[in-house]
Amino acid sequence: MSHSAIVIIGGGPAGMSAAVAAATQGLSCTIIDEGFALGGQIYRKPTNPERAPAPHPRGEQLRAEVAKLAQQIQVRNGDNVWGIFDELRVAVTSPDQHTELLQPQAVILAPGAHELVPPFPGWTLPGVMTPGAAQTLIKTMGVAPGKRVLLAGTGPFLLAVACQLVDTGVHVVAVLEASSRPAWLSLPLHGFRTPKILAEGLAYLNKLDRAHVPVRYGRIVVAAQGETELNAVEHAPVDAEWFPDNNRIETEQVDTLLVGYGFVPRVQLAQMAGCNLELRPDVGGWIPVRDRNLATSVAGIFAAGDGAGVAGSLVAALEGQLAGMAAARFLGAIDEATFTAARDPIEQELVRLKPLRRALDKISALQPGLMSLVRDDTIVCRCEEVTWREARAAVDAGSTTYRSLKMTSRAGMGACQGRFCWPFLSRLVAAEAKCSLADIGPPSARPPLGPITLGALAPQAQDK
Amino acid sequence: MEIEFTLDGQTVRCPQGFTVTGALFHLGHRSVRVTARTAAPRSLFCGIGVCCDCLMQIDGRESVRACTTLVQPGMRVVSGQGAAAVVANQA
Amino acid sequence: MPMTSTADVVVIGGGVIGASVAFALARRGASVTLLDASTPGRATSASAGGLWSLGESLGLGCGVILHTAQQGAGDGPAPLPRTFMDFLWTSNLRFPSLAAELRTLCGIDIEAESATGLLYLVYDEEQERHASRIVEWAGSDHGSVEKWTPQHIRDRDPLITHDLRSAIHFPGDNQVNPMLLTEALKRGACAKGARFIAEARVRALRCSNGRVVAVESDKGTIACGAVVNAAGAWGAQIARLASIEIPIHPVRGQIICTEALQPGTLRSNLSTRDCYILQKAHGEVIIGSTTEYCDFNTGVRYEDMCSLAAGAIRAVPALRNVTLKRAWAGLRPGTPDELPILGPAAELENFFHATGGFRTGIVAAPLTGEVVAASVLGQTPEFPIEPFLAHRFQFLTA
Repeated sequence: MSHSAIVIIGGGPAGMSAAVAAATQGLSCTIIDEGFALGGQIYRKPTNPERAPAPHPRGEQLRAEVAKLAQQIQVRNGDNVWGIFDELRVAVTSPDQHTELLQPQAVILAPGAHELVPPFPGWTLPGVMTPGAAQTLIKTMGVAPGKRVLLAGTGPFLLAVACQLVDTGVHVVAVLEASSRPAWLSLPLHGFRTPKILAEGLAYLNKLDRAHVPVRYGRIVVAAQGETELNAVEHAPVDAEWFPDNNRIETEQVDTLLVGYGFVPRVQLAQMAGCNLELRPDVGGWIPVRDRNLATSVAGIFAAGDGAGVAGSLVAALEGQLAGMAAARFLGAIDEATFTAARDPIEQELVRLKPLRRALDKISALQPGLMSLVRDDTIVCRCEEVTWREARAAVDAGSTTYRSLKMTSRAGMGACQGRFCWPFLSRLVAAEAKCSLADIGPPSARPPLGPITLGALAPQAQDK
Repeated sequence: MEIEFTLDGQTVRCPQGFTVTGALFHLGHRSVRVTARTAAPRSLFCGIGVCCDCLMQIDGRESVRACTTLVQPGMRVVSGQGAAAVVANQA
Repeated sequence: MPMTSTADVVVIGGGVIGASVAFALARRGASVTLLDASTPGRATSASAGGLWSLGESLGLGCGVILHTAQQGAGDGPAPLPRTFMDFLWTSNLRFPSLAAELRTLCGIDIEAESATGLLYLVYDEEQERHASRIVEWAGSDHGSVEKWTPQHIRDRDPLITHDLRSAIHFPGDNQVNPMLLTEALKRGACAKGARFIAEARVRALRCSNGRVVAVESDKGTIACGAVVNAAGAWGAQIARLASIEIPIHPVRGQIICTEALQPGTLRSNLSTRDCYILQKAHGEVIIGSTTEYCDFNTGVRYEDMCSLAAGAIRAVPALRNVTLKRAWAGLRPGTPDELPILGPAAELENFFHATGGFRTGIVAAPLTGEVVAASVLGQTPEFPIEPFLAHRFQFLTA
C-alpha cells in the first residue's frame, strides 16, 4: 500500500522531472508508468540491451536522478492507471490483475501523447504502423519493423526514426514530408535561440543524405495496398492545403509503411478527474486547461508534458520540474518565495524554446487535404471496423457528437474508446456536418482506461 | 539467452527482453489477430498500448495487448480470433 | 438568428420515448418536430435493453437490486400494479412487428431477440420464498413462467454458477438494442415526414390562453399546436418551463460492459439480487445496474464498479477473466410509484407528458408512443391512459 503524498502518472521526461523536483523538497512520490522501465516513449530503456542501441543519455541521466532519490520516489512500472475517481482516488491495476486504490494529496498527470494517423485506404493492413511503434521495436529490442520501409507524415520525428532505421541496417526507401521544402528552410529564422536543436535536425538530414535516403517534401501517402499484408504504397504530391494530385501518383513496393502526422495529448485521465479541457489544434487537440503553475481546474491535479499539449521532451522536462514544485507548494512543503525563485528560470527556458516550437507547429499543422483520403469503404474506427460510409450515414441522420455517433454507428465504441481514431474522425464529421471541432467535442473518457478484467475489480467489492 | 514459448501451439524461441509483438516480428510473423467483424488481419500499429490493435490471447487470458507484454518462458501466445472466447471452468 | 418554424406537435426529448412518440405521431400523419438536446447520461444510453415485461413488473431487474441495496435480501420487492403489468405485456408483444416495420422503413435491425428469456437466479432460502411468490404473481395468463432446477439451468447455460438453488424462467422476457431501437424510431419518424433537430436544448415554452404556442430552443423557435414532454429524467425541468410541477427525479444507474465475447456465450438474460447480466447481439456483456437517487450526477463510482463485477462473477464465474471495456451511468426518470406519467397535463390543454419510464422505458416504448400519440391527436388510446395521468400526484405537487 502506497501512502505517497503525490502520485505521478507517466514516467517520461515530464513525470521523472516532476518526481525529482517534488522529492527534492522532501515529498514522497509514486511514479506509475505502463512501460517496463522509466523513460516514456522518447527515453525508452532497452529491454534487451545486447541487441538494442545505447539509450539516450538524457534519459539515462533522468533515471539516475530518480534512482538517487529512491527514499522518496517509489516507481511502479508495468502498472495501469485506469481511472481517477472523486477525491483524488487513483485506481491502479498491475499486470497480474491486482487492483489498488491510491489516495494521494496531489496528482501530477504526465501521460504523454500518442501518434496521429489519418484514415486512408489500406491503413489497417499489417505492415502499416506508426513511426513510434517502429522506433520502439528498434530502441528496446533492436528488432527491424520490416525490410523495405517508407516513412510518411510530417515533423522532425520522422527524420529521427528514419536515422534509427538506417543505423539498424533497414532499407529506408524514402521519407515523405507533407509540408513544402521552403517552409522547412525558414526554420533557422525561428530557431536561432536554440542552435543545438537545429543542429540535431541538420545531423538527421546529413545522415539520411549519406545513406542515400531521399527526403521528398510536399508528398503524402494516399493508399496502402496488399491482401493480407502491406506490399505497396501509393503517394502523390500535394498542394499547400495537402490535397493530393491524383494524376501524379507513384507506387512504391515496400513491406512497411510508417505513417504519423504528429501527436495527440492523452487527456483521458484529466477528463475522468473532471478537469476542464480546451481545444488547441496547434498543440494536438483537446488539452486540460492549466494556469501559469500547470494546475488544472481540479484542485490538487497538475498536468505536465506532451499530455497537456504536445511540445517535445525538453519542454516536458521543464514542465515536469515546474509541476513538481507547484505540487510541493500546494502541499505546503515550500513557501511562495522558494516557489517563485524556482519558477523564474524554468519559465525563461520555456520562453527560449518557444519560437522554434511554434514554427514547427505551424509547418506541421494539419491541412484539410489529409481528410480527403477516405473512401466510402475506408475504416474510420479501427476497433469496431466502422467504415466511412457507415459513419457518414450516421452523421447525415443527425449524429454529430461523439456520443450520438458512437451509439448509432459504433465508431468509438471499441477497446480504445475512440482515442485513436476520433482525432481524425471528428474532423471528417465536422466537414460533413459543417460544424466546428469544438461543437463536436472530445470523446468521453470512461473507466477503465486500458483493459482490466472483471476479476481485477471483484475482490474490492464491499460486503453488503 | 533465448526464451522458449508457444505461438498458436507451436514451440518457438526469441531472445530475452522481447515483447510479444517484438518476438513475432523477429520470427517473421506480421499478423497478430483477425478482427471480429470482417476477419481482417491486424498487427502492431501504435506500439504503445493505446490503439488496441495487437490484442492476443496470452496464457489463457483474452485480449491482452501484445505490444506491452514481455515474453516469459513457457508463455502460451495465441493469435486473436475475433470475439473473445469464454470457457466454463467450474468444478 | 435562429429561424422560426411551425409544427403540429413538438416532441421534446430524443430518447427512446420521444422517438417512439414522434414515430407514432408521424405514422398518424401529424407534422412532428423531434428536439434532442443530447444531454449526457440519458437513460436510453445507459439501458441494457432488457424487455422484461413480466420480470420488471414483478420487481426483478433493477427492482430487486434497489430492494437489496436498501433493505437487504428479505422478502424481495412487491410487484408493480396489475394494470402496468398488462401495459408492459402488451407493449412487449409489439416488438416483433415493430422490428419488421423499422427494418423495412429505415434498414436498421433493432436486434429484438425472441428466444433469450430471462432467468432470475435464486441463491438462498430467503430468495426461494420470494421466488415462489413471484411464480404465483405471474399467474397463468402471461405465458409459462416456471421454476428451473440447477440441472436444467446447467443444461441450458453451462456458464451460470452451479452454486444456486433454482431459477425462475420467463420465456417471453427478451431483449433489444436500446440505442438502435431509438435510432430506428427516430429515422422511421423522419421517413414518415417528421423533422429531427439535434443539439436543440429547449430554453422556454411560450404560453398564451392556457396553451403552449411555441417552443424556444437553441436551434430556433417552433410554433406548435401541441407539445409532448419526453425529456426523461429532465421531464420535471421541461414541465416547469410551463409552470407545471411533476414528481420526476433522476435515478442513477451505473453499468459496466465487457469486451465482445463470442455470440451465444450467455444464452439467457440474467437477473440476480446483485445485478443483471445480458449479452448483446454484438457480443458485449452488459452488467447493471445501480439504482440510486442522486441528483443529476452521471459519474461512475469505483465501489459500484467493483460490486457489479463481483455480482457478475458470482452469477457467471467464467466472467472473472473477461476484459472490462467501459463503465458509465445514466439517469432514469423516477416517479414516486414507479409508474410513468403519460397523457395530457391538467394545467395546459395542449401539453402532454411521456416521461417517468423509470426502469421500464425501453419495453414500454412501443405502447407509450401509441397511447400518447392517440391522446395528443384526440383519438381514443388503445390502452387506458388514466392510471398514468400526472393528475394522480396532485396531492404531492399542490
